[in-house]
Amino acid sequence: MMQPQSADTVISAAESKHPQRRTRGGNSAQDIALIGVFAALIAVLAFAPPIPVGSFGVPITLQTMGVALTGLALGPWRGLAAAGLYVVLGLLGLPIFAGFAGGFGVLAGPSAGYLLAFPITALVTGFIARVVVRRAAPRWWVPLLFVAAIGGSILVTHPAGILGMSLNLQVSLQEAFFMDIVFWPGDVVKSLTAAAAAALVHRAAPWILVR
Amino acid sequence: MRVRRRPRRLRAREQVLGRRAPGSGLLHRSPAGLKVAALAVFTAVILVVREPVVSAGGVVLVLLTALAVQVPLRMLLALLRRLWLLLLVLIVLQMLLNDPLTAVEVLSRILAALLAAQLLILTTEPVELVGVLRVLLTPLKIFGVRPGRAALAALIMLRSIPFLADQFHQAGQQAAARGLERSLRARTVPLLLGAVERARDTGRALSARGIDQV
Repeated sequence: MMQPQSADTVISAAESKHPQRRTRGGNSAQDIALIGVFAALIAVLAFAPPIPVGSFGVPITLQTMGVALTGLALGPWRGLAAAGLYVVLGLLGLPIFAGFAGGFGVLAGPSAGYLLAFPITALVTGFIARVVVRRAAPRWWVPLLFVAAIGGSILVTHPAGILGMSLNLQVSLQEAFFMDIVFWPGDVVKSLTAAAAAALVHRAAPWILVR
Repeated sequence: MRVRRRPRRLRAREQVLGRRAPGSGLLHRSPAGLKVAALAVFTAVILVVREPVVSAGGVVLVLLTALAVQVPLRMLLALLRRLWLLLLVLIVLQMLLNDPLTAVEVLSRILAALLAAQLLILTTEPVELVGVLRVLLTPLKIFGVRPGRAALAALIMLRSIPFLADQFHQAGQQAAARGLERSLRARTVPLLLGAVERARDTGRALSARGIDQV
């Protein structure tokens, strides 16, 4: 029974021959490509000028959304690798942080805590997202992925960011906490958008997180 | 007589990578690893000491170095223009929360560290930094990190940044054309789908060339 096969089916047949290899993560050429491209995605969203959103047009920056999207789309380990690659290359000197800054210099700045937390945020978000995509019915994906995104943000990004601001700006933890509150509403909006976009990706490209 | 509408000028794109100072001074010629190490030591000293004199001295040292190795100060200080809002917020906060001496120390510490890093960027090619990354990751081999793969991912990232920046810009224009310039979703979904598609294409191109085993 010979049927003409499209390139797609040939490739997915070849991939499904090694299912256990792909779940381990970080091993195939596809994973390397995903890690590199998503690190670039974080960088591009970090440069983007603040965008006015909603009926009040409050401008928000998008850097943390790139991290949330990376965790939600790639799962824990590849998400960690992509966000880690972004942070390490930025620290080595590539001008890929917000405002085209880069280098170890940002460790002295107010955003040091937030930046260093990104890989761990992607890891935590990715863990929750992987469980959601594997176990939950697709109609629950958007709310549950929102929980994953906001969970990573609350558990990792904000505590680390507050600690970094308090250390680098010589202010108390309490004062740093009040400075951090400014970012909360934007964070909810970004997490919602990221969850909706990630649910779309998992429906459109199921190969990205093998279930 | 109809007045001919003048075509709207194309907006200049923000150049991200390859913003390099012309010339071939000492810093241009020294190896990237050395510069990264020097920057790390400089930043660590400033971060640990936290004295107004040292931090302010650091700013002066960076400016003098830039003059000595023929990096135009204009290019170095362009960083401040891009970060002016952040710096303004910092100055106001420090005035409110700290005494003047601490404020001077905090501000000059941040400036010195950022400008020193800018000096590195202006005299180094991105690809050289990927080489440094590869060397730095070598000791992590025992944890299963493969430096070759990381360097490959870094190169893919460098190639993807201009592509995705264009994609994002286009998504913004498309959203605006539909009257959705305030919808975050209309801007990000095309970017994300574009990224996934590019990753898939790149992955296939790598497999097709047998670059599975790096």
